[in-house]
Amino acid sequence: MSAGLVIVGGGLAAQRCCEVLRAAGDDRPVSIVSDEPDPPYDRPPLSKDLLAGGDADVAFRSAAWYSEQGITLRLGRPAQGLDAGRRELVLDGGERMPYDDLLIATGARARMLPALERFSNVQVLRTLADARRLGTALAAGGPLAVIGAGLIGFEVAASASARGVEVTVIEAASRPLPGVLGPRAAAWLTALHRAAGVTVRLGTTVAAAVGHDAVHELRLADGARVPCTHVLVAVGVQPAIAWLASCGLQHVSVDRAGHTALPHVFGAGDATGTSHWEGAARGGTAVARALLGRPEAPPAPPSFWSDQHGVRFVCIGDPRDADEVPVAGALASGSFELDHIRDGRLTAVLLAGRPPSALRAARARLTTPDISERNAA
Amino acid sequence: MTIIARIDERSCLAHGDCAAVAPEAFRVADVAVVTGRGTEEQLIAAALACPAGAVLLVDGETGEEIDP
Repeated sequence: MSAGLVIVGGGLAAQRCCEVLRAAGDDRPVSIVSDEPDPPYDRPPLSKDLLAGGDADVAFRSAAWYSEQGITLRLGRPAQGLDAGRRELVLDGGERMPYDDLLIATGARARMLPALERFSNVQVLRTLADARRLGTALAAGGPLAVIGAGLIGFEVAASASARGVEVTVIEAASRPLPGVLGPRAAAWLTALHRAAGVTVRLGTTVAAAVGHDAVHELRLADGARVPCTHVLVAVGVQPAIAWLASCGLQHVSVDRAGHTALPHVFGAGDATGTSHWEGAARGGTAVARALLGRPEAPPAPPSFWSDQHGVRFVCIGDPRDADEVPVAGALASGSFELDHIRDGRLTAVLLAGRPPSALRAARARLTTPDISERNAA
Repeated sequence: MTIIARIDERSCLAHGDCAAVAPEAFRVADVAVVTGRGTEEQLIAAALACPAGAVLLVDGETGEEIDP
């Protein structure tokens, strides 16, 4: 019997790859090896619905689905290394798993601030376990301090304030989602949070943390003091590929079909440096298509969406380093579209509170091969 | 007016929100598929829930697209 496909990492890219393979009638053996104790689940609800209180079910499928589909789940098993020559995955403890093909889908690790690591009430948000811990802290009341006004930080701030928890967001850059949103969109988003009662402190950092086992106050570089009972560090992620160090791989670079430089080794999702849901979904699908011998899907612009304070905004394309040009609606109304023009070309559209037809129209305007290729990571 | 749902397969990335909101009308595996009729409310909610804008609503009689 063949060793089949071994997927390292049990997240969205892994799930998409399995779904596409099985939907195509491919019945090769598949194993998912994950260091997490939970079967594959969707991450977006971790900063949204799951924090609203109660325990939402975020699993992609029932546990039974995997055995019905001939997919072996090996949970709570971190990967330790890769022997590409012998085509074996090395697990913690030294066990070797042979593979015909391997998919690196270990995702990303949330960065912690070294100065805060020792405190008992400071955490990151990446896993279901993290989300449950944060939910418990929110249920106990606040105030909550969030370090980092990126997507995660701002989504948590919105979820926490919606359940009556006092929140302060601290961001080193002069605007939220730095390096992503332009000044107009950033100003709109900041105003949205402040109108909901979130304290947003921009252009400052944490200078000191006061407390013994738990931190109860953050002192900022601008002199402000932020009392807190719990702290979320949301300063970014990095690919979780330390386990590949012995292979000499510092980055997992892939082509559009998900091939790495190593034969029979693929990569998809945050482990390859993409950072949004759509990247992982497309990446997992692309690997399945490659394994099925199907041609690549047409290139598509990257995108992300976010739900904050009852508003959904979607960004299609790469919005960085561009001029924002309002093309529909009005920022003040919460329903608008902003074109992003860089070097005379449309590189992204940011839509907030717009109907589905507007999303499709924006995607159509952006989907031309040279723009998508240029935006590919 | 009858509302009919269709999936724009180029936009669909199998987020699964349509099936979560209107399980009688959508099934999602590698892409979303319309499997039945939901209520008008459910179809509108599904169109609004999809982060990719991949759920199209059309007037059953005229075939024109409806904005939810």
